[in-house]
Amino acid sequence: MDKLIYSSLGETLYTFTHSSGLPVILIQKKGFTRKFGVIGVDFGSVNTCFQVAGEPITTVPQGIAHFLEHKLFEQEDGNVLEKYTRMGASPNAATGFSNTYYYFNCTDRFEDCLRLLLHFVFHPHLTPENVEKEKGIIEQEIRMYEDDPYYQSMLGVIRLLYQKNPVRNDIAGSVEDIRGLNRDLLMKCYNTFYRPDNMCLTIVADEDPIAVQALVESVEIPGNVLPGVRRISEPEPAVLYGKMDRKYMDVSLPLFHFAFKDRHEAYRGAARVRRDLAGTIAKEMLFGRHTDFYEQLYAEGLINQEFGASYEIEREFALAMISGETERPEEVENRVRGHLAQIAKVGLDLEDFRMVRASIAGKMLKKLNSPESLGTMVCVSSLQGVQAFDYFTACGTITFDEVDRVFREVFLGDMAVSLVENERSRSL
Amino acid sequence: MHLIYEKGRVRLYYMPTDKFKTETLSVTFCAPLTQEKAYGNALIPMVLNRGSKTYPTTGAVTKHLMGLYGASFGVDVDKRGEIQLLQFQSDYIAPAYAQNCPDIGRQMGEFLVDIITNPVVSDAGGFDPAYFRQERSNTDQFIRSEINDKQSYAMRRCIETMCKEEPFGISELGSLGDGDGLTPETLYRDYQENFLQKMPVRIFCCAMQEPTALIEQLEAGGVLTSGASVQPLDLGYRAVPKCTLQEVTEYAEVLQGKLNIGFRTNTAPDSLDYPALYVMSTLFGGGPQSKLFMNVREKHSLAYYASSRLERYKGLMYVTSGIDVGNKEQAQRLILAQLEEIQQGHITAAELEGAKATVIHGLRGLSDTQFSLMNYYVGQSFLEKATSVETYIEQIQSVSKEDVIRVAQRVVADTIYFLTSKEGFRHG
Repeated sequence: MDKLIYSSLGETLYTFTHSSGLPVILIQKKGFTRKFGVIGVDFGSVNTCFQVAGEPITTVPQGIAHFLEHKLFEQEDGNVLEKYTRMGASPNAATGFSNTYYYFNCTDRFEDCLRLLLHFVFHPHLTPENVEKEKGIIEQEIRMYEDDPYYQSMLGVIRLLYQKNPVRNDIAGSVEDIRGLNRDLLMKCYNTFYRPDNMCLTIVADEDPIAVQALVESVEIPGNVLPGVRRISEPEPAVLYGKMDRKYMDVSLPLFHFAFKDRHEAYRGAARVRRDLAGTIAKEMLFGRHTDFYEQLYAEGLINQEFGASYEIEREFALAMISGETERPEEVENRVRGHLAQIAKVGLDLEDFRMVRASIAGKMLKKLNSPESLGTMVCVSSLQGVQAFDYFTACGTITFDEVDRVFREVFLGDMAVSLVENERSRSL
Repeated sequence: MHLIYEKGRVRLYYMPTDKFKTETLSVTFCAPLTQEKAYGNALIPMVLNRGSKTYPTTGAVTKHLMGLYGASFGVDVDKRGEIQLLQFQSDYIAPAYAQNCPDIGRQMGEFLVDIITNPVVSDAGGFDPAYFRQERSNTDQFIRSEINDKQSYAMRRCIETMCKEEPFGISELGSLGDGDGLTPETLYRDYQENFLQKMPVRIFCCAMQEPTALIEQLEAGGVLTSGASVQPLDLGYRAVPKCTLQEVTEYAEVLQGKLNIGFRTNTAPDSLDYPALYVMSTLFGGGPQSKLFMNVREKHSLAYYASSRLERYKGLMYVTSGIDVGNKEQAQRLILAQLEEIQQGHITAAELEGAKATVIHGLRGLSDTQFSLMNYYVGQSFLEKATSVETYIEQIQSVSKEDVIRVAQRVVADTIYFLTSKEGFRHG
């Protein structure tokens, strides 16, 4: 077992590999009552086209990773969600663009909870009947998001940034996509991607690391080794796919998302962490609540508390986003463009950079308070080839130049605009 | 949580802790919920949040907080039963991680007192007119924007219908138009005479050391100086053992229908039966082990979510679900049938144990998030006798099947609210 000590953070990371090839990361959180376990798979909504060595190319419908996530909770002897809650634990799962992960949160019976996690994820029980039954549930989940104007506005802007990249598709797929799913397609994906060496187990709990290791080793995990898998994706043009999108929904005020595209493929490992932090500092320097820009627009009633900006970079995509609600979206758009042009002329401020960096470092530290967010971050980062604790240790070392580069390369690029407005404004 | 200071209308609760990277401090002003005052009361923290004489702009406030390692501060308006809560909340890096700022706790206390007691005042002797105008407009926008989130909109409409004759039906933000007669001067007068002098105040501090400096700061700031008579706070619990079922259907541009049912629990918030009611509601619709999840979702595939929760202080229980617009009658029948099952005693030992384990897990987990712990004790502080989380857990453990049946038999359906789609609607 390897041990990594982060003394300035007061945290220690233990890592080892289960005999099946499953990587395991353990963080001992002293004094915490809640215990958290998560197992992630390097398989997400974007992986709908792949080739197993020696076989023809397989293309599956959108939404299949998410559907599979729902189905793994169903076991021959009952529903896993129910089993967890009967033990007083809360389980759940999530499907992202690049990953799927399953987790539990418990305050008691940690060993049983962990054993159950390692059991159900490696023993699928899919039948044509239970696959059919799930369609009604997922259909309602999709409808719920279709009625969510904020989500629709965000999806709208991602579709403007990307033409080929499958992040433009809804993670759950469409109702039509999932109606076309069946057991064989789901099992094909399961057998291809749910392999121990394509997964990662992370535990955040006040438990003795040696005991946890012994416990994990005592669980038998099927090898399910397959020859190599090639993930197939079409090349994405560097330019935006579109610049403007409008949707009409029942909203009180127009919602907007403005976005810029970054080159996700150019950053790996520690470099991706630095780009992420630099992007976060840049968006805060440009649009944070401390800026004159924010104060001015707020005072004019152009934006309200919902206004915010973000920068995200993952293995499959990278983008900066500005979102909010306003009565005058065109005016906000013009002001954002004007603000960026002005900063391009006068440059970012070094003093401001130092202050924002220190405050982001403080905010990062808060993530360590929550076993769930820490565990999920560590697990998902690891699947994407990133050391999660780099986020905490690198923050203080980000340079002004790195932030300035994000500003020039991303925020001065083409901006996509997505609006969700009320039907009534269509006729105006 | 210990009550370490009580004087007049002010109570200070302290929880010693050293397992977090952060400490928290919150100050809550309490007022009876009335149509006349709700809007103005809610506006006060929003205006104060804009700045004090020391930190007169959003920029100055945010920069000051950034200098304190990215400390967070925010205001919030909420209600518990028929008590309106005006909250000022902050969290900041624990002194152990704030190398250059060992007295960060004292500084945050100073800042909070300054924001609450030292607002920007105009020459006319009122709040800053621009801040007043902008926050009024934001509050109105915020009230209007409830329609954007159909789930919470349906919930609110259900409560408004159920409690139209009671103060609980009033939104914690008041209603559009309620603020029409307000001016910066009248609101400021109310702030001085009512908010600062008469409202009961609850202060919560989760930190490594007792906040001794805070008491001095509060006294110096004048928050504690007036021992004026305390307005009695009434949670507004009401027993309604018999009611005529109301049914309301409303239409919106949605693809998914929202079916909400409001019940009267007829169990008082400080009743010895309350723990049994909590177990009952959890068994009915609190999580994947519940009857609603197992039947409405898993067995009949009618919904992605169908769950119940309690409003302890007012004596209400709500069911919320998202369903296909054509399935309303079937879903309604199924939901009500699950409650009848419990009333008739059709509960397995596993269901009862599962519900209890779920409740206990939730209560144990409270100690791991500072804000949820404070939230719990804010509610407890309105009861004759506060119950610690530990005692509460013991009470839950001793709940029997008979207890659950007894409290379930007192629950009656009051209002069925359905938000459904306009005929043939699709999003444009």
